[in-house]
Amino acid sequence: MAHLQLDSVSLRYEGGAPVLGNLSLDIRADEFVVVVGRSGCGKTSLLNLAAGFLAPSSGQVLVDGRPVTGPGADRAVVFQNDALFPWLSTAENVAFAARLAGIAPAERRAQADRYLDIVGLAGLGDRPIWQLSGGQRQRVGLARALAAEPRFLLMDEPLGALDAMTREAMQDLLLEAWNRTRTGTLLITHGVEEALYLATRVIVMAPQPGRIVRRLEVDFGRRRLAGESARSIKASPSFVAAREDLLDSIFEREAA
Amino acid sequence: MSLDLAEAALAPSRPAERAGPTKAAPRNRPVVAITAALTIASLVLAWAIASHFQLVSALFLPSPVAVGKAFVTVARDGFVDATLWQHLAASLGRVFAALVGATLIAVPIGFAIGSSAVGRGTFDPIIEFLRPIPPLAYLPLVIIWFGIGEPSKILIIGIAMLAPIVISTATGVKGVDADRLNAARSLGATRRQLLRHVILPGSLPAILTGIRIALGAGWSTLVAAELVAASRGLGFMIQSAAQFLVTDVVLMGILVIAAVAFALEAVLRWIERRLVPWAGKS
Repeated sequence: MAHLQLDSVSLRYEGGAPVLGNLSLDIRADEFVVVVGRSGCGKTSLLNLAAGFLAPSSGQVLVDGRPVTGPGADRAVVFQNDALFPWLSTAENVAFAARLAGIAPAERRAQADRYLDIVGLAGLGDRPIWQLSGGQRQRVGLARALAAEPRFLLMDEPLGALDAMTREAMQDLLLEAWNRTRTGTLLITHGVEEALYLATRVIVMAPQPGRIVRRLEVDFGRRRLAGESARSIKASPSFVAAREDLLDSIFEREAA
Repeated sequence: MSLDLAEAALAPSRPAERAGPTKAAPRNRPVVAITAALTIASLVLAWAIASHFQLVSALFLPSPVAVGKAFVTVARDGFVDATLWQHLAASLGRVFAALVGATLIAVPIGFAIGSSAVGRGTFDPIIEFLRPIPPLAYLPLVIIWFGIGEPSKILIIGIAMLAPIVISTATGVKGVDADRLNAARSLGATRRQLLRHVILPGSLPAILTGIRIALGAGWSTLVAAELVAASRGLGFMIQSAAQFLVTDVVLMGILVIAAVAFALEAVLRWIERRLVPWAGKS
């Protein structure tokens, strides 16, 4: 089973204070790991290590026991500012991994249409990217990552730039997409409710140096997938309690 | 087309705009067009009055009508052994030959400067050296080295075109979004694929802007280039006319050069809209 492992990694930029200190984290297929924490606690650095954009100063990043040497198609990334390619159509953006792999246009198009359908954008394949709304672009970014059929999906505040209503719709979309593929997922956010709602496991980070201070198994996402409404989940006493609990662990550290 | 050409030419990377139609421009367009037409009309009127009342000798300032007649005559019968169209074709031929050569050399250099420290260290001094030198200054040297043939003329124009394309390309390459590069890498792109699928298309708007500026620079170097033993060309035509004090042909030639520059700019802007419609939109 696919296994992404950060093994006692630390990260320090040249001449600076350590960004991450001796941090370990495992993500397996079937898991939806959400990292929360205040800004500056190294969440994004953690994702950049997992993606292979950065190399750890010490420790190792491993996929199935093999060290990661750089970014690769087994770990697709969804960015906060979509990072789509405006010179390609929506469909060609989605099928970008297939394009790199040298797959024929007709087949790419079929693949793109399939994934556009999954993210609820069926029929928009021929649109230029710049004619899409922010929420639609973020969906294309997700479809592009899913279409690479990665073993892990890494998302860096993918909903951070969206308005509140679009964000709630996107949260359900993320849950459904994850449920469909069961790809091991790492999502960075600063939204505590978002973390609880999506995650199978919530990780709380604290700064200076960036480290994990809390791990929490939750099942609200699975309740949502089982058919319970988002409002009833978010209003339920267990959700409210978990939220307060998480907020406490995020802000306790600040006072300390 | 409007008078904001120069402004846009100075800003290779336009600020990001949201998708959708821009609001302010259409409302201002008629105002700009009307005032521009008024400016041109009053200049021509002042010119017509000055020549009609002989405020300036016709030898120095022929009337607009005389210049118009010169246009017709030169277009039909020619001047210094070639018609206006042959002069124009010779000039355009040189400028485009120089443009092709300069683009082929400058774009790779711009990529080298924009993407590596070694490339930057290697080429930056050369470009910074060439950039501020006026064409008339290196003209004699080019003649000493390469003679008075057609290659020298093309070279003079080409040198003037080099720096704008190199600098724009380098800026474009440096400006390629880091997230886009990372996205492509995490989808399995190799270094070559990054260049082909992300860096090249991502810097294309800047390259086209560079080509547009270069075309302007090259076109304005034309007269200098045609100082060198030319027998055809708009610049040559103007110089010959000036030697015989045929002022109407001189003025006509200047107007033709200006009109062609304007037309070239319009064509390149059209190409930009077709080729990189996304520029400035995301």
